[in-house]
Amino acid sequence: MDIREIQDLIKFVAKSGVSEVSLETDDFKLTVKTESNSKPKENIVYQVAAEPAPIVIPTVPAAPAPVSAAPAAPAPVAASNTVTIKSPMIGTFYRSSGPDKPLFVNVGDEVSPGKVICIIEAMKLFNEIECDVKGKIVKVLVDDATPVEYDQPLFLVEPA
Amino acid sequence: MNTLFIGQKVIRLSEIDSTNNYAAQQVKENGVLDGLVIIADYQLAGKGQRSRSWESEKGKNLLCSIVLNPNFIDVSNQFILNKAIALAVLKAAEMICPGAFLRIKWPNDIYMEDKKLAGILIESTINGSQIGSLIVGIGMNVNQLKFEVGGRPAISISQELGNEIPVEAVLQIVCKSLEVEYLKLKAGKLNYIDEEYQQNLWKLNEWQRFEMNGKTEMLKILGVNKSGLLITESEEGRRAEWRNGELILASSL
Repeated sequence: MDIREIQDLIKFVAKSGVSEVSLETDDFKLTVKTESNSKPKENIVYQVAAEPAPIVIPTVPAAPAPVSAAPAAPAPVAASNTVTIKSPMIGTFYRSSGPDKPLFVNVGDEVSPGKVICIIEAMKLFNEIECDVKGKIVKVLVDDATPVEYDQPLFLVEPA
Repeated sequence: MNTLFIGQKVIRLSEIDSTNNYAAQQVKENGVLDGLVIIADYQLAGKGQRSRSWESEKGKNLLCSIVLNPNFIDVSNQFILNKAIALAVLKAAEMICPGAFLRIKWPNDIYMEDKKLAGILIESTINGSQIGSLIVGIGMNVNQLKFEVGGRPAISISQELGNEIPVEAVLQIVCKSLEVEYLKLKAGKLNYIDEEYQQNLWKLNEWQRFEMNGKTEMLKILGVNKSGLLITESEEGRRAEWRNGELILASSL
């Protein structure tokens, strides 16, 4: 049974008004369920005999089943030989301890665990972020004094 | 000092750039001594909010920093520290000025009516998801009677009480109060602190005109979320979350 046939079956079940259709062959067992009239949603449990893990595909009745998922938003991908240091919190990213103070780190600087690389201010709590790897800063990904989100990449470090 | 650990060791200085900087130096040299207090008569470069300075007449006010080691709090939940500390300073002020209308102005200023009584500036070091040390800077107006004209409205304890009070006595009450709230945190009573912080928020559930991005809007403060963002509601019922500095109360401009 291919994806086309499964889609057709889903459409058929959605239109038919029945609440459940089960199909079983030597290779697989397929069940298409509609929850209720008030909740027009279906769960399809597709079980292949050899692989017991069920795959649940929620769909909307009558609408064509999505063939492929939307492409994920492009995220900055670190080269395989670098480590990404991410923000541990929501806040504002600062590269120095004050407006007229030197930067904690520059591109090309050697860093090691315990070295302060930036400050993230979160609601008047100033957090000095220490590096937890030994290596060299290859890229600073955020501008000074700009807001950052939780887990946002801040630096790329080439481990030593 | 009548405490278990906060203030069991006190370093007294006459003049220093900032007690927070001095405390940071101590941590660097001697490690994190939980409860170490640094107190100064005068700060040459008192820290307010990044580059804002804290003006204080020599010997008149409480200027201190307290070192803590809250390694039992996850970084993702660190705003709870801010809440506990703000509550501690608020309760100390309530003890000293019984009956005064005191509230926490988000994120952590202590206000008496519409005037600032105390400010808090916290600095931490973070390694991975671990909080290495916490330095709590507290500035409280104690015996100062004149404040800079044109500055933000401020008030001191002696203005409220009508007489002077020794700064040392205020320090003791603040340390004791901070210890109580800190031990509550350590005992895992986070919900309790959350709730009390919320209840004591300045202008909670009151309509106020705020300025943001050059425009003004009437908003009502509903509370503060886990990350410390201020939650407001507009007259149309729209909810929004704000970072520190994004929102200014129009009347305080």
